[in-house]
Amino acid sequence: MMVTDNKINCLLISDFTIDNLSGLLANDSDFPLMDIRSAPFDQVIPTLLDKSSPCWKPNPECVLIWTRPERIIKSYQRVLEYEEISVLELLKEVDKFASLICGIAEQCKIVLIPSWTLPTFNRGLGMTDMNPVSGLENILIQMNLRLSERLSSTSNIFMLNTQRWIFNAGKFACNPKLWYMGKIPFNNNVFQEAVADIKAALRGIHGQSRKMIITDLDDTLWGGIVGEEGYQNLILGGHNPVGEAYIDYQKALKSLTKRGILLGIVSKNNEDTALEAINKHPEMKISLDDFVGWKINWNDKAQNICELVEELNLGLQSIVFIDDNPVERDRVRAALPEIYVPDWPADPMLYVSTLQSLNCFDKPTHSDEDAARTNMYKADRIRKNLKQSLTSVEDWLKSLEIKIQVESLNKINIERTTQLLNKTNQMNMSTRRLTESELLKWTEQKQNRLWVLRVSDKFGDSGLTGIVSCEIKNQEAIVVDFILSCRVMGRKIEETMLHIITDFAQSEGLSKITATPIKTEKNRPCQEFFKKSIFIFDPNTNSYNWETDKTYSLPECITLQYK
Amino acid sequence: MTINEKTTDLVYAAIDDLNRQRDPSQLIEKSLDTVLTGSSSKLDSLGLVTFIVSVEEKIDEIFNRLITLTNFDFIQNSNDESLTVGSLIGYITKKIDNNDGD
Repeated sequence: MMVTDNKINCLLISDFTIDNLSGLLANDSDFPLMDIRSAPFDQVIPTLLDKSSPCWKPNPECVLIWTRPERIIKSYQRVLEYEEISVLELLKEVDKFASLICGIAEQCKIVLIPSWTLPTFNRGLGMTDMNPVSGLENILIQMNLRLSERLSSTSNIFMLNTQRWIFNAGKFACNPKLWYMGKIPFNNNVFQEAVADIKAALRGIHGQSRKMIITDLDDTLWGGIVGEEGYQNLILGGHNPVGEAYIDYQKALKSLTKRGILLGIVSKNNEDTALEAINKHPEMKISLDDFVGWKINWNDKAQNICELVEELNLGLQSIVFIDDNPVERDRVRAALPEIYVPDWPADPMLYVSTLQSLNCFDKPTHSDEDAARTNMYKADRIRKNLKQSLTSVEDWLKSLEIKIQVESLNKINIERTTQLLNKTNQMNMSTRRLTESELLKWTEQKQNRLWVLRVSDKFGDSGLTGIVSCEIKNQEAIVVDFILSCRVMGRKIEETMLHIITDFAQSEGLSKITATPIKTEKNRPCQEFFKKSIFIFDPNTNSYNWETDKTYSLPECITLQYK
Repeated sequence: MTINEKTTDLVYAAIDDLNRQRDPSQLIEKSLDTVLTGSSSKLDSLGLVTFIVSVEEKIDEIFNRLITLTNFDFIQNSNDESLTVGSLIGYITKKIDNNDGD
């Protein structure tokens, strides 16, 4: 999906009146903006079967298919009427519906399927409603699981959790009056919850999810002011409901690191005092190893955040800042509007629920690199310390013993490659966004080449962190993707990527390599890299060129291996 | 706050909710004179149903009362131009004042 300021073109397919959702999505001002159109009312199957129907033109980028289980799966209507049915046969109907959905997934970039639900007022069989052969709720759960299983092999289809929308919407979520008078099964609170989740999903797919939480310490990570009360007297754990709440908040933060969310600290404190508390408090659940960086001093927090973010090579738009103090929150919001500063409850017992309800971390895939991200940043901190102790950058780079493994796109790396392609902003030459199937199709075209890079050094494995690709046209290699994770920027990996492509062009007998960085708000590091590179700038075309009669050498500090 | 003021607030809140899903050129004005039914209303039948049900839900939330608005003539016969935001607020206020309910 291209990242542009353009609206995302979305088709809604439903067996109920979906105008209210349509209006809310069209008017919602959060990124990304959307153009909405709806398929004819209650024509789900014909719409999925007939791609020549006018509602498919132009091809939608996003399709949302929201159905009622009793309408789309006929056997489930019989279940609702307490008839005896074969669950196996019912699940076969689910399979058929799943096949239809998979059939349209090739025609659009993303398909969203809200899960099936029962109206909140229908308590089914009550005490036996979880019976696996007759319980309304149990059978519905089986249907949702089966649908999810059948759709999971198609990478651009995502099932959304409707149950949570209904739960959050309150007692009128399934107001029967709306159904009888307008064929609307849900009230607007449900649709508003849906809009929030749909937008979060689309932001995740656009690589706009947040990557790091920066937290305050006093009365945020623990209760009390450590500088005044000493770490021994902090409210943390013990037989105390608030102390338990702080423990759970720490655990919840720590668990986010396994999803690839980085943690940092910005706090007004004496650093020694604060670090002593983290290191020595017997009930501290979070350790310094869980944080990729911290700024603990008496400076302005906005300034500290900027410095920390710069040190980590992240963008401000990647950051969430959590602080119990509304004055500090306002200051950071005003100074750094790109940062997301959620309203934070005054009661620590609400910290975990507030943290877990944030929808800014949604991502379409979760890779091994996500789980290892904190360790990668920690290794980077050690590298930077080494850099300061050595006299020259060249000595530092040599001492790292950097190894790069180059691979073609394959089944094992496509998920991570697509993730990197879609979320990298800074070192990204074209910022094109594609789904897995689109990327695969692109690489299958004979004029296109794509390589992915795995980077490691003596401090650890940074994983799949680079992509370079080109299109061969008129005896030239036109660079299409030049993407590098900010984790490994500035270690001659960029130069190695240029070497890979020039080496390829030479071996193929091509005459020239052309790279044309497309300026975006966030890819200044990429612009700067090309400006400083030894590629020759052509002001007429705004491109950087390299004639293949010259060799572009591999940096001395890099060991390169093709797999 | 008086019952009338609370009712006015909840009806205006329902208009806000409704406007969030309407085309910006078709927004409903928060005014006592705004006509809700008939040919001069900007609301189609779906918009009217959504709005009225939303008002009912908010009455329940604010006053903990079930007052049915959906079975009135102005819903069944939406050509009637007598229903304005002001008359709706007056009707609800009177029902609550008189302790009428379902």
